[in-house]
Amino acid sequence: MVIVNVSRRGFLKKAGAVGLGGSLVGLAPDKAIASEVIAASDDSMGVLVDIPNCIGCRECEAACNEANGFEVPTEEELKDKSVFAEHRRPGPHNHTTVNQFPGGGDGVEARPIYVKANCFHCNKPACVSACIVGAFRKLESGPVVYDAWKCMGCRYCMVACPFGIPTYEYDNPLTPQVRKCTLCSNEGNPNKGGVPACVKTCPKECLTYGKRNDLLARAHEKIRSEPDAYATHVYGEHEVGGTSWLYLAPKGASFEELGFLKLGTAPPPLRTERIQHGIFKYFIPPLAWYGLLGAVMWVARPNADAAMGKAES
Amino acid sequence: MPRLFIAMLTILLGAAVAESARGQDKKMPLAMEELPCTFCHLCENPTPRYLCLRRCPRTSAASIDRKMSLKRGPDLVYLDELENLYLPVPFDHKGHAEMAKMTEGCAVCHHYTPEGAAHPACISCHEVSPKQRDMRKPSLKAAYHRQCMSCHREWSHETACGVCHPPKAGGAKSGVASRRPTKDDIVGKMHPPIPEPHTEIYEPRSKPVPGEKIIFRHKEHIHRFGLKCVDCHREDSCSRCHEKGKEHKQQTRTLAEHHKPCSTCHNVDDKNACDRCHWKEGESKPKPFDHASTGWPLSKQHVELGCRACHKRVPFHKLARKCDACHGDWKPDTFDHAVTGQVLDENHEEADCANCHANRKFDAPPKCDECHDEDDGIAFPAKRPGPEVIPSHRKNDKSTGG
Repeated sequence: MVIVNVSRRGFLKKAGAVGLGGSLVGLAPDKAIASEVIAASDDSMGVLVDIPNCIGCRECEAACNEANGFEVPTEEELKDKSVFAEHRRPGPHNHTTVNQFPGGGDGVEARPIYVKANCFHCNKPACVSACIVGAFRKLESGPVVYDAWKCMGCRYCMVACPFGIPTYEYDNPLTPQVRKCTLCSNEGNPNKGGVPACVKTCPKECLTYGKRNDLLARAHEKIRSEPDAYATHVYGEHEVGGTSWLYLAPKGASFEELGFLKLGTAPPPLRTERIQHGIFKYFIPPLAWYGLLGAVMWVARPNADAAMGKAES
Repeated sequence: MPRLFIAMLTILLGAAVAESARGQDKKMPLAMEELPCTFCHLCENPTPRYLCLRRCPRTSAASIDRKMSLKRGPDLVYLDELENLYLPVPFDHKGHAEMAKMTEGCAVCHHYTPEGAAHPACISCHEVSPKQRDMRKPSLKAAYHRQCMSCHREWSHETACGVCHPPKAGGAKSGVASRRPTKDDIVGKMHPPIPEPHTEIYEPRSKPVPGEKIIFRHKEHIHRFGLKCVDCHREDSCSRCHEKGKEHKQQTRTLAEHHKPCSTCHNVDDKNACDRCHWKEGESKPKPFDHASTGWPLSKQHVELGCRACHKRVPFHKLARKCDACHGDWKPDTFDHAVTGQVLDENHEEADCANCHANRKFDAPPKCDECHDEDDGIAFPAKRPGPEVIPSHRKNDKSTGG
């Protein structure tokens, strides 16, 4: 007769060892994933923002609101510079905002710098990765789009986005949606499939719409040809694995001073997905789990003969 | 099993070929696939090391200032491409051309002028709605706005459309009916007038001597000595003078750069001449220039004149004390003798100047003895050659003084 005394502590130790072993196999650095997700499609479209040229007229805000059916600011409201007193984030009823930052230096350099904020349309979007029902999708053509029909309102996307872009219609209790810039690719948008409204309206063409690769080439050409005007870094070229929106900053100003976050080049979903997808690789967790359960059952099986004998005796 | 291996190998090969083709595509420049190679390259076979690129039109207008003169350019230009929506934008061409001299000249705006031709209109290169998107070339709307807004937002901090585009009655934007704007609608309204500094006293930021100050008589230098704005204000930013509601900041310059505009006339290396502009706290200010210190006090109409009326060369040099040096062209039929206070009667008005003013020496009393016997009392100063009047410049004195 073998009596095995399986304590609770012992069980957890064994289960943990098996589980950890399984996940470690998947956690091994996988270069293949990294290169696969960061490379954007050649046809991926984007927008290049020439920050030094922006004059803060906020015509892009007005055009965006018009294209999305939001309240359009009047000419008088656009004139009002007091809106720049506080930093404004894109909200559920305005997908883009222009903020003012003080320019450094004396004289001409002291003039304010204006930065347009909106969804960056990442190459490897965290919102897409975080969405458990697949309501967010990254299109081959660049935009990150949202399907309200699939959305269940968990708002994981809002937590996941490194730029804090998706917003929620808290003012709409019955059919709330997550709202953010769609690069004018949403249904019902008059600019759908073409140049985004903000790009179309910009009076100085500070916004350029085109293939992301062309925009990158143009950005670097601008930096080369006007070294006194532009900082050498193109924000969005490598940040979080690359974004469809690319930004050129004025020389002497750093992106951190202009409200941009200092983010690494690795897309945030890369780490989480590596764990998630890694531990499921080669069907390991189910096998490990069922193996563990089987092993526990095997070890802790009632000794039928002994039990019988005990009963008989 | 071998069949599966061959199939996989085929897929892999196919993928590799596709990948290499994609890599080649990437090297195509900037959405310009449709353009002929000669649009950018001068030679037939450019290589990555020798691209033989054409010069960008923006930088190829070096000779423009020679070809164009301010006088030939228009005073006011109406930009009326959007006339169906707004009233035309009145552009003060002359004013901007004068200011442009202080920066990079006409080429600031007229950045492309083909050899031997008048400068082309903006619209001939910058299309209203370009058929083919060239990221390098802005559309007409952007070309105008880039040209105007970059400076204008510096001084007015206004970016609303209505500042330049007056709304038109019945246009897209509701507004009041108004006439075609004129220059009077611009200067002092759209453009804040620049207050002209009279006398400026500076305190140098890095003081060589404690309490030292520097005087610069701005108005005198402009109106009397005939300095042009561009003589000192070179490569200045527009907002230095134009910025609304802000005292302009002094620029950081080296000692040599500070003295450079002055050195055209003043000997800045002469250590004894420093006190013309520099003085110390508590001492008396340097006095303005007095022509009497040269030994020739200016009188009558000469006081009113700018220095360059007589002193043609810069720096100013001593002139021969002869009226003829400047007034060599005086003749009886071009000179109205009444301005001297002496009207010539009909016997004298035809006479040559030198008949009375011997050797054309106008500062000495006339000699009458060539025609008149002085003892008869019919010659000057006993008798005048006509009625005496109040000289014209004194008349002005009375009218302004009274």
